[in-house]
Amino acid sequence: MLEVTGLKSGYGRIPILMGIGLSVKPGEFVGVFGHNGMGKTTLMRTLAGHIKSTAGKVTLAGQDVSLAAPHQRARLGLGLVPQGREIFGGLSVLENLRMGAIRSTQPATIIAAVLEDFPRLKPILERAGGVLSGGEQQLLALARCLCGEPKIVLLDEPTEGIQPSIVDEIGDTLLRLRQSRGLTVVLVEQSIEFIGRLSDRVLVIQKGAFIREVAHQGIAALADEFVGMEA
Amino acid sequence: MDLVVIIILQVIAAVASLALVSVGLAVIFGMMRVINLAHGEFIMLGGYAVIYATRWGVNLWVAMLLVAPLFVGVVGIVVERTVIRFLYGRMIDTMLATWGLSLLLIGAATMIFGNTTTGVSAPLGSVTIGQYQTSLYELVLVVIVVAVLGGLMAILRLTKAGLIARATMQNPAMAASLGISTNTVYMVTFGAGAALSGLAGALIAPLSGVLPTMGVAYVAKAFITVISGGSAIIAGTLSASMLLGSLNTLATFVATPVVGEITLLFAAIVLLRILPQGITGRFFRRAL
Repeated sequence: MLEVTGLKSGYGRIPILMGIGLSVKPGEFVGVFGHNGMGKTTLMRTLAGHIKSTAGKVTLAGQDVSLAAPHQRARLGLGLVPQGREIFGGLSVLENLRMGAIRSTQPATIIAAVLEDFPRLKPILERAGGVLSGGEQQLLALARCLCGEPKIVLLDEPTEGIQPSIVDEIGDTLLRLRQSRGLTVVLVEQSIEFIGRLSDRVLVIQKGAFIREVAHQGIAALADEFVGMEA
Repeated sequence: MDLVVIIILQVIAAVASLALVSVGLAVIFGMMRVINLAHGEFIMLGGYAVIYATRWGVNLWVAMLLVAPLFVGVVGIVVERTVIRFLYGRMIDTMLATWGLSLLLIGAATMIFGNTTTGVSAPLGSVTIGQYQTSLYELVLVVIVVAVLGGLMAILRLTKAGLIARATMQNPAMAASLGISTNTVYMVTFGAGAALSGLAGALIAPLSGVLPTMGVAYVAKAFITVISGGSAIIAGTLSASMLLGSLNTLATFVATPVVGEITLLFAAIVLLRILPQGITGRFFRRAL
């Protein structure tokens, strides 16, 4: 589904990613785990096309998208739930979802189907996105992404600044979506508990490169190694 | 009593006129954060488009409502593709570039059309109210401005294109991540803003005449209106036009046109001192 080789990028002359390699199969849930400032969000922004790569190759569903603009990657099936959620604050919840389904010929059908997975959003469809709680915004960001029917979802720190009960709800929703939709996800997180609950395997990132891959069974052991790191 | 009616009609016409010359700028500035100092010259081009279209036999209303906006809209798209798109996010550079464009257009218009005022006659004649007369065209202009603002509101609020425009205005990076080509949105938005400026110039041409430097007279008022209105494109333009246009006209009636202009500027300064984010920065926050 997603193949990344030798990916490098940064901000101006400051290199951040130092040659990332990543392969994600359809239906797979891959976690990326690391300290602050190690390049997790830069990786997501580079994969989404918001930061231009300086080297390497990104292939999405068989197509080379290394030089593609963000909207072209989105049209090829790359969905992004960014850090900070980036809800359109002045648009209503429904309008945010309509933006997610903007390229669809059947937006109403898609939105209705997505809302079945996000019952919390149903009573607040007319409310402005900007006045929602952090948890509601996170659910909306995920629902909006799914309205675009992405082949793969890049999920950047969905638990950041969210109260624990909503974190559990987001985790439950993602597990349910994985089963019902066969969702393919790259999840960046600092919460070992959250990433361990969802991921098939976890890649540990340090100084812009993956230094280790841990299978699902070994994720719990990471907690001892990275004690005190949880957000 | 007749005088009161006439004054009210004049105030309404002045408000509509101010809203008309400001709305194109409001679209470009409000949606793209581009300060277009060539706005006045887009108005001027709209005026010349009407004059030459009518000379070539086009019906005046078709020239005003279709030819001029289309012509200036195309000019706007060319300007966006060749100049503005390289300068997004660089406000000072954009101001300098559009200032240069403004000087270029004034110079080119002076060379081509000459430095004299030309015009077309205002259609529709006048209406009599008691012992006073007022231009019927000015009243029709009010209806057209209401239709333009209402149409703009409907497009932004009810259509897919409007939703895309509003989302891109709020968060272009996120809109791109949802598959929206923000380059295309910006191009169309700039073209639409330019077309509205062209429409303004076309509708004003029968009232004020057309001159290569006519834009200078409108650009300052338009900027003051847009900044005073705040972030909401339509509600901001309308509310600021109502306030500033009314004060300008009333002061003109009481004293002189110069006092009217001074009153408008003074009111804008006081308004921005009290409401630095403009009227819609404090009121009508969710309005468009």
